[in-house]
Amino acid sequence: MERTAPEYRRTLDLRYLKGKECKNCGKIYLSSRNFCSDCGREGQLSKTDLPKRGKVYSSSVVRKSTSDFNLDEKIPYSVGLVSLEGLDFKAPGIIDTDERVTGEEVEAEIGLLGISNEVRFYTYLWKKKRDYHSPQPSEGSCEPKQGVGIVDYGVYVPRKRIKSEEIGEVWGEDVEGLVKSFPGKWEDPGSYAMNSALNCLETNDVDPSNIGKIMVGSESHPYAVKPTASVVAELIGSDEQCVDFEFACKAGTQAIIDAHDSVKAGTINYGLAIGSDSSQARPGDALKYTAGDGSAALLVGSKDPIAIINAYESFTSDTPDFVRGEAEEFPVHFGRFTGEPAYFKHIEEAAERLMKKQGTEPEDYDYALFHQPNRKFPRKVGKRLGFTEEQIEPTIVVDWIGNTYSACVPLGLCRIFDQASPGERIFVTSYGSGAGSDAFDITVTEKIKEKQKEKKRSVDSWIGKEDEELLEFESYGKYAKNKGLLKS
Amino acid sequence: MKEKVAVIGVGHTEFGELWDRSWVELVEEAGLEALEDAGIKKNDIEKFFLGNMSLGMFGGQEHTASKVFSEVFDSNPESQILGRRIEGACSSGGLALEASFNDVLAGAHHDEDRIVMAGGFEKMTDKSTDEATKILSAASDMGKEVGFTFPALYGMLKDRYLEETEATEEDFDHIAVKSHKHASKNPRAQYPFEVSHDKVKNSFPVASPTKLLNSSGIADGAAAVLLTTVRKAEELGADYVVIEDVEGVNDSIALYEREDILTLVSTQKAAERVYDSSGLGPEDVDIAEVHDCFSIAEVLALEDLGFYPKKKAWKWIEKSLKDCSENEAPVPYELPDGRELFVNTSGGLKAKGHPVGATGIAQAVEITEQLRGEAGERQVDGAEVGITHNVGGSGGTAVVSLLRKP
Repeated sequence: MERTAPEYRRTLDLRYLKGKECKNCGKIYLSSRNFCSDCGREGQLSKTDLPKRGKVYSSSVVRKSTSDFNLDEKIPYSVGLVSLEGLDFKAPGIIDTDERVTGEEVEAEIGLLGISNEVRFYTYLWKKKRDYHSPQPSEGSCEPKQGVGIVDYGVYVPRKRIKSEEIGEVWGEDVEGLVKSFPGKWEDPGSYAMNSALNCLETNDVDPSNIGKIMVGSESHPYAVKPTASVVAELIGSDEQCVDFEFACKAGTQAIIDAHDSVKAGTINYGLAIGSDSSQARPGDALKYTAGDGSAALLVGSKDPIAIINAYESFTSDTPDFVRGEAEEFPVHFGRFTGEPAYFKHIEEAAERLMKKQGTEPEDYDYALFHQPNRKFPRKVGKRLGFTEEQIEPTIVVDWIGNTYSACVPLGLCRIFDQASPGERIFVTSYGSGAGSDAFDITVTEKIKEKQKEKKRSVDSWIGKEDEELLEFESYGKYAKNKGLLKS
Repeated sequence: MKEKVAVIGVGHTEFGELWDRSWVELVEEAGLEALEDAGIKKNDIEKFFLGNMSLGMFGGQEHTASKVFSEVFDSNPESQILGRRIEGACSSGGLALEASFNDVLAGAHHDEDRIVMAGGFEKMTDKSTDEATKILSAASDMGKEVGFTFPALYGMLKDRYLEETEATEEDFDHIAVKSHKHASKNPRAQYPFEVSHDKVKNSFPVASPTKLLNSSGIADGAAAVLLTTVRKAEELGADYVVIEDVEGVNDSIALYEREDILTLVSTQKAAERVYDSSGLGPEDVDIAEVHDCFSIAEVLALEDLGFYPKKKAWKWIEKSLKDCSENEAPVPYELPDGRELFVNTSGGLKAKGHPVGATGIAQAVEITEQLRGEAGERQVDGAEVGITHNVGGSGGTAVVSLLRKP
């Protein structure tokens, strides 16, 4: 049953849990209707956001489904009716579990329902409500500082994990101690980007229509033609500029630069910069141990920033160290898997340019964040540049989720924001194959304390450094299926 | 006095995977059997109503009645017949019965004795199980219940029933054992064999808590009943039964809109109306053909039709049916007042088969045969009053009819 563009548009409200409320009598409807059943044509119906929390009223585990939206490839999955919090109302939906969960508390999260004619239908799915660690609010204070910077942040990392031992077993290799994230069956880089954007906007009252530009950097955009950013924009309620970036692993920081420049130029009030990837790796490639999944969204603006971008510098050259051809499934290394002419050269050049411009030394910074293609490189390049373990370790995310490509540095930055104190200074340098690096000099403001208090779930919880019991470690078979390595 | 409606003839093809027969051949077979049973000819019929859910999707054919006119009536130039297809998902057959019943009454109002054929058919097995399941999903809310297969919708009903009562999953499994027992005595049944409680219990959980053997299958088949006034039936000297009333009522198509999903309001309302108009009640009913597309549906039907208090039927299931493998067919339920009620002596949708559009009519065929004492090895002795209960989707439509011996 192929869907169509008009149907896609007509089902958006339903899929994004936007109901209708009658202004006349207050009755709320799940469906996108035009008339109130009680007030008829006199009832004025307007859109209303439905609760994203509820309790499962009844459920069933589907073990035989149809090829509609390829749901037969998703079995077993659960469906149910959810009594929405605060409403005398039940919503039908897919529940991301394979058990009957009647009576349990659930929360809505964006997922990929299925694909029809290449088009991806995203929808809210229900997940069991969990208790998460939240960030520890910092103390201290500093001088007020004005400028363009990061106003808010949000991340999303799937809870699926695979260990390198599990992968090595299949490929006859002995690789110990690595862990990486991979997608659940209802997830893709589009749903990651959407969820990180929602998590970013949850803790501020910025009107989404005031976000003039949404940018998604990714190496694994769901569409070759059609921006991921447009899907994010529709969900959050913004309808101005949307653009996707691709610059290998630095497309996310390129989005930050673009947002920063546009806000500074006064052409937009806020820009949303997102890095999101389901990192591709040819199954036999060494990257299979590290290519991970995740997303981070940074809201850039000049009103009440939690951190000011003092300056940035970039360095780019035509270095084809790692490429993926048009319509090719997996990227390839052009030559030895070494960072010397690529990773190290570009990061060091950009970093040195920035420190020269700012007249700073490594010891002027509290955190030093570098792109993390593996566990070794960020630590090594940091030391080569003169940074210490104390500056580097709090920025690491690769140890828990692998290399999340465009999301890597934005995720690292979010992890820093969870722990930073007012006045602390952050040094950041990304790297993207092809090749280039963006370096940033950032200062944390007084506003960070409030933000840390508001965040419900810490980045450490998302990556699995905290709340490790919520992670789902899976077999290579499950990994291969969810990652799209098995053809049906 | 108000004229009454009579069933003067019935026809029923075998149900199952009938790959060598087209839908129109099945309709012809059931129709001719009904005509022969009534002792009348094709051209004696003035109208026909054919219940069918989805010939368009299952067979790519629309304009059903004209096709029937060509193939069955051989485009007879003498004929003045008008037919039409009626759609209401799995209750399409029941709706055809309702339309035919009211057409006979409308004629009687004008002092005419119309002979009307109510038929129902579905040709499902030309499609793969996947395609057929997708087509059947069209009976649910296609926009809002994506991913909810029918076994899952009924699974949710069962899940809620288990949540609100002390019933166990195994209680429901006795129902399938009973249905197969009855089907084993029905030569037209799709699954004419017995199954053990263990086999049902251990069958594949297609949409937990719905298991494969709690579910009806996919089948081809057709059924027909000929209706006219009692006056005409007497005149024809037919061995007829009386239809007291046929009532259909709608409810929301999706479960989420219902306050209490364990009450099929459409069934309750339709039953209330037939009881009211006939002056009969559940206490008068001896036999029932209820819409048991899944085991839970039979339980809800018995409650909504008034045989058991709401959310209490489970207490009598095990008690009534636990020894049914050892007992002789038909096996009755024990009612709270100690009476016996025979349910789905045909084998029901579960075991007789469920070619969806045919079901509502096939139920009336079984009740008619029982009331005439022609049900063979599954005959209920002394049956006087019977009820049929046909549901569309998960309760979005329900049609209830009450039949009795003249």
